[in-house]
Amino acid sequence: MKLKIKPNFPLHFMILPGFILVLIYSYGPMAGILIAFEKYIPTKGILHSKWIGFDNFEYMFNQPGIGRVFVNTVYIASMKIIAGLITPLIIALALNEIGRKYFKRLIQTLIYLPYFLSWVILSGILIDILSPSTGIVNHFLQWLGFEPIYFLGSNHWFPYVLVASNEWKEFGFSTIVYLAAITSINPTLYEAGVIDGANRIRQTWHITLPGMRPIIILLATLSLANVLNAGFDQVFNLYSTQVLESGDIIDTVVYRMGLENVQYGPATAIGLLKSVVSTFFISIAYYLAYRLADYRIF
Amino acid sequence: MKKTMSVVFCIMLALTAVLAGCSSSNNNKPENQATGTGGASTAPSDTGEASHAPAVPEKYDPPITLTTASTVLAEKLPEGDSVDNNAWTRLYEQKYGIKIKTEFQADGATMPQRMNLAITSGDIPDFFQVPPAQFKQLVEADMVEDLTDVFNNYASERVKNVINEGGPQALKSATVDGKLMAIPYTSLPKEGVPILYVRSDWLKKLNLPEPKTMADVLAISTAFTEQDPDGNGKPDTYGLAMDKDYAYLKGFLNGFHAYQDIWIKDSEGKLQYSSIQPEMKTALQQLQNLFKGKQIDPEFGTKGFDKVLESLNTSKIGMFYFPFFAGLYPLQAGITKDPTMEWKPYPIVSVDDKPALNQLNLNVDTYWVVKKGVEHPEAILKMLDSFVEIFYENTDPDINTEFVNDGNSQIWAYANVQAYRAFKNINQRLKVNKSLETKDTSELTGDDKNVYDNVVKYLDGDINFWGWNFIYGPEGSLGVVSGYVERDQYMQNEFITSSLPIMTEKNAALLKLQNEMITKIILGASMDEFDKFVANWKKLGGDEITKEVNEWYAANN
Repeated sequence: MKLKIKPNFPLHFMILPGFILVLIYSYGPMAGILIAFEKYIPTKGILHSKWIGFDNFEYMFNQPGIGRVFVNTVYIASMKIIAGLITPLIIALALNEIGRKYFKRLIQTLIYLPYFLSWVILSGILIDILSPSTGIVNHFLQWLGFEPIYFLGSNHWFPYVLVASNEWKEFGFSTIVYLAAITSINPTLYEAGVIDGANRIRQTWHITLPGMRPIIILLATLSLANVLNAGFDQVFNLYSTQVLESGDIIDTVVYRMGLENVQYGPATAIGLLKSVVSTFFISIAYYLAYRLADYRIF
Repeated sequence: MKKTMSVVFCIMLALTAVLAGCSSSNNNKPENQATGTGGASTAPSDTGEASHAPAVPEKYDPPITLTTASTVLAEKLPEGDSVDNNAWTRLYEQKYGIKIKTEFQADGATMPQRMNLAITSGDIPDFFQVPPAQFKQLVEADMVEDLTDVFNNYASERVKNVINEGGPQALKSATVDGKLMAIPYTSLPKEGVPILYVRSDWLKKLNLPEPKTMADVLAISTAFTEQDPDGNGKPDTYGLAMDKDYAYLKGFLNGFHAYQDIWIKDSEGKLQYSSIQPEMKTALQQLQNLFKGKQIDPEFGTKGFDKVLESLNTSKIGMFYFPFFAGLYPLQAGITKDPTMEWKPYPIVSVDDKPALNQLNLNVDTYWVVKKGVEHPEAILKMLDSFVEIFYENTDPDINTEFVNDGNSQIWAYANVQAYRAFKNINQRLKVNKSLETKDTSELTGDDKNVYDNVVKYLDGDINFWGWNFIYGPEGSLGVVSGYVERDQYMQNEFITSSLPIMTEKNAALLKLQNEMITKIILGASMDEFDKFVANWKKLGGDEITKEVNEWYAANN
């Protein structure tokens, strides 16, 4: 495969700064992986801190209750991945049906807005609206005849609150991507479908979805990277001791460990673990995509 | 919760700033065991240096430059001044030949990280302050000077008095292997302990007696919850304040002779962890009862510090435990909006006939360290001497305006090396009250006068100064603190050094277990959870920690 640089020189040049940044800030620091295997003391540096092999990992796995924490992390993260695939897809398909252009644009913008809010702000809002005594959600429930529920204080409800509120915040992003994919489908295919007698639903199933297949697979594969990322920002701002049982995730445990002293070693070890697991899952997804959908992502 | 406590301390010190300038005039008789400032009668130009040491010039010639790092302050400097050019830096240069150069600044929240960065890269300033954990790091990395001789030889009498006023623990905590590796930045923990505040208008309305015992407090809590004290017909009032990080708990716990997360001596003189003692179980049981009786907000689990303070100011809660400055923060805001609220401060009450003791941590939050290899480490003691002299002894109003408080800002906050006396506010209140009685303000320093004026403003009808009277007035909250000091109502945490390595390893997990247990019990779980927790705590590292703490204690006492 010949490297066609000359004709594409402007493009390569455009991407060069980004490429250099990635080299410096993402590949360079990989040397820091060593910290995961050392008893890292900042003043001694990476090269002179004591090598302790897998002791940091052992230390993490020996934390009492870590099993439950892992289960929580995977459970919450998996639900977020699934919700994060289905919701935007359905919304994008629904939006696609809207005829009025301005209305469609308006909705697109509105659903994208929560994406930019930080969890610090959103958590304040959520705590208010989910309050069992003063929150509107519970007022609504009571109006329907139910007892108020202390969502943020219940181990039963807490994970679902996390997933639902996270979805509301994030779905705008993927929806836009799917919409873009939809608009790139050749309209003549639809015309051919109409001639063959397909109604909207059949058209969606036979034309739209297959046309979106590459994007769906891409987003699904990328989201698998987050299987151990249950969302520290969100959980940290919403959790309390009452919901530790269902809401404590790997990142909040590491955070609390770091409060006493700056524990670079264990924190790096966990980061490394998460990266390794992510790479593993992405590889599997890539392979499956190739095998089942005959689609090469790269 | 630790974070909340440091916020509390910062607020406390910041408010102490408003009361700047306690001068010890010769008429001031110490009301407590505080050692008076020995150098009270020295004139401002005398640095009071000890002279039996290798001679060090009073003024360095040629001038020396010392680098430092500091937190960005909210206080504004006069026009044209900056952090490296203000009344204090000019004083150091003129008097001592010391030039100050601030290498970096950060705001309070990010300073720990910025400092970590400096320490990690080895690029630290000549002198600066650090909290215990970083102090330990620096000592272990051999990056700071041994100040034993420097302190003994060059610290003036008044500096030594300030550092020792709170007790010998301050210097001890800065001593490693018999060597003094830092100057402790002493603070005022004895003044910062909780006071019980009660809505006195509710007490009167419901005809309840003032709280003298824990039984009284429990009865008051029940009444506040059940008898609609705010008279609006809705069951929306709670007896006792509680937040999700349990920052308000100490005063209540101490009433049961239970202590939160400190190390106390048992009958054999060994140190034990206070949170696993049986008194804690009794106290938690009581909290469970309060919760069951709806006397604590059922949503406290999602309410941080600030939200609870809101509830206090909107007449939703009738009692809370808080340090002496509650009058200004948070209550002033509430009173300004609703002047009909009435609060009264009381000493913490006990569950039996033994007096309740306030738990007390070390009176040092940070340490002044000097980078290893700096040529004139004694320079920081000169700067400290100036601070002590001007802040605590000066009565000259011009010096006051230039260095302490120019009417707009607390300029003293810019002094580059500081330490606080252990008792300042309570003495200040006594002086102000005497002047209120005699109408004679001639013995008040500039800042005593500031407090006096504020109290008078309230007494003359300005509700915006209610907090000043609430703290410093004849029945002010500081009076309660004076009482504590007189009766020595304190339980000192015996573990006064930075965390041992084993603690760093195990504490996060143990604290999680503890907080989960406390929450479960308050919400209604069986008291067996406490016993289960104690057994777990011991097994999962508590016994190891206890053993090492006692080894440390034996070696250092």
